[in-house]
Amino acid sequence: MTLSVSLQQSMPNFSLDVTFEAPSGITVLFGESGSGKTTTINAIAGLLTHCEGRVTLSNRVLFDSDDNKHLKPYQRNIGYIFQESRLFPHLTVEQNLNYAKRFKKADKSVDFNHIVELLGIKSLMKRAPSSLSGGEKQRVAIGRALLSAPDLILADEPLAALDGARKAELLPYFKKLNRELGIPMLYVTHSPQEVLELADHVIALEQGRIVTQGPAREVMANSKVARTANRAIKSTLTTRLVAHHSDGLSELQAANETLYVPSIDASIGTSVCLELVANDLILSTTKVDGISALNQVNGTVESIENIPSGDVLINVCVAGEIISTHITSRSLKKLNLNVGDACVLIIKSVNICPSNRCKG
Amino acid sequence: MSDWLGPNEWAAVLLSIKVAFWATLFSLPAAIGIAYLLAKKEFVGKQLLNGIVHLPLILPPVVTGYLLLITFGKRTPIGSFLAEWGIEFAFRWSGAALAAAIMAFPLLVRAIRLSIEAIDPKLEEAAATLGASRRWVFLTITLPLMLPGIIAGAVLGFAKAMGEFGATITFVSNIPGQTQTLPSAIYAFLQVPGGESSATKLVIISIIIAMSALLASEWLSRRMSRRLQS
Repeated sequence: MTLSVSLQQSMPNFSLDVTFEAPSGITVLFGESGSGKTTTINAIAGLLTHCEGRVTLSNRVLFDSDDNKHLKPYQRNIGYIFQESRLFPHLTVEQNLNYAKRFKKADKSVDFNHIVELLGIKSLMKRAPSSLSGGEKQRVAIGRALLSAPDLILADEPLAALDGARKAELLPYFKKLNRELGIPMLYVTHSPQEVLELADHVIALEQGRIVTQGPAREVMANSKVARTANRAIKSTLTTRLVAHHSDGLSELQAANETLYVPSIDASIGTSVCLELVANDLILSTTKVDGISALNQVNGTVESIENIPSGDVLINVCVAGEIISTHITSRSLKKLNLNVGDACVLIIKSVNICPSNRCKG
Repeated sequence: MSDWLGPNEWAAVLLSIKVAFWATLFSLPAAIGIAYLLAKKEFVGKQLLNGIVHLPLILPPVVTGYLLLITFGKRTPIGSFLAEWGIEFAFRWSGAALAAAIMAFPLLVRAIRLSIEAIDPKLEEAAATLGASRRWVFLTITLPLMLPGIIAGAVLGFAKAMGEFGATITFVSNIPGQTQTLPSAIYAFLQVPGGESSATKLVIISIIIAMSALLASEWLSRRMSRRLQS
């Protein structure tokens, strides 16, 4: 089953021009937001109509603008897993799962019990979607898409709305499903971790164009892709707002560490979640004087990871949370850091932004 | 209760319920259709349709009643055509139902349209990717999700239909037992000396019906939206 896609779209602020083939297995569309990933899969699903090109699945033409052929979404037999699970709120979990049953072609059979078993959602059957946790909702949504017996699964950042622990819990399902059910999948993400875990084949997008494509390791090692990937490595740190200063800074506290950030519009005592981009952090073995950066926080090296671009990620434990720092292997050699060593993270205040992605 | 109310008063209450019931029942499918068009579709004349639907809300009811009279009256082309098929409106209870339906229509459309607009179109997209054609999406997703609005609209429309006065009295007059609905009866009782006590009873009944309708619609839509929250 091969998906072959050629799509062009030009809008005032954005143009898309992609041509690729997705073999069976998991193909990941990787890129930053705004790179055209979602536009591409929406066009494949038939949810987006204003574009040119041709999409075929095996020998079936789903869309051909030259031929003026445009199958409706319901005629394409493509399962779609959305970022927000989009479960039908008026139906129970079981009814959601069975929704596609009445539209299924007779020659298609899916094993309901097998899929329910795989996803571990047997105990949720009678529940209402509103009573499920984020991870459970998403598992039901995966099941619902699979039970429509699709020829292809599209997944649009299905883990993006979940916190770290839920992500880790859900990720193996995608691999397992692909292995056990053999349905090809086109998976959209901006997370390099997900690419490395899942992808058999990666297509890297930037501003509506394909930068490169191929096996995951190879693509992620491409310097252009790596730059995108590294920008996407972020960690979160939970802090408490302790004071507002008259020079436009807010003072935050995480365990014993103090951080200064551009003024946050919240009252004293509120918990503030900070998002730290691995690329923006400086690592040092000692505190540094005579430096503009206002924040120097103590941590210990938790682990050291090699990443495909040839650099390293130093995961530092600060106030009980893990902060990833991206440095070159030369810097690592120079600092001579090992797991368990004490170190100092230097963070420019202006590089810190509050986020709502902390767990809890 | 039948002791407390005289036969004429009792007849007016029953007639009002009958009129309001049929008015709501018949205008509901049309209201759903038009609300759907107004909420979801773009077409030439959309504002005009919107205007016509809302017209009875703004026009003096007596104007609406007069327009009905010159459209459906016995000697008009439409009236005599319908009469051949055994359908007569003028000076019949069915005419009162027609007038009530038209007057309640904007309220129905409004409530239903709001409930359609509150439905996340992403859910309808999801249903389409699962194999549902547009008709199935409407039947299995849109319609159930707009149910709170339909019920709220129907209850409100029913109450409006029960209280309709101006268009009804203009179109079908005020014939006890035939076309004398609750408000017409109150009006009639107030015209005769000593009618106040009968009028007061009917006023109390009107207040009870209106209040219950409002509470019921509020309760129903709140219960539904709680269930639908995701």
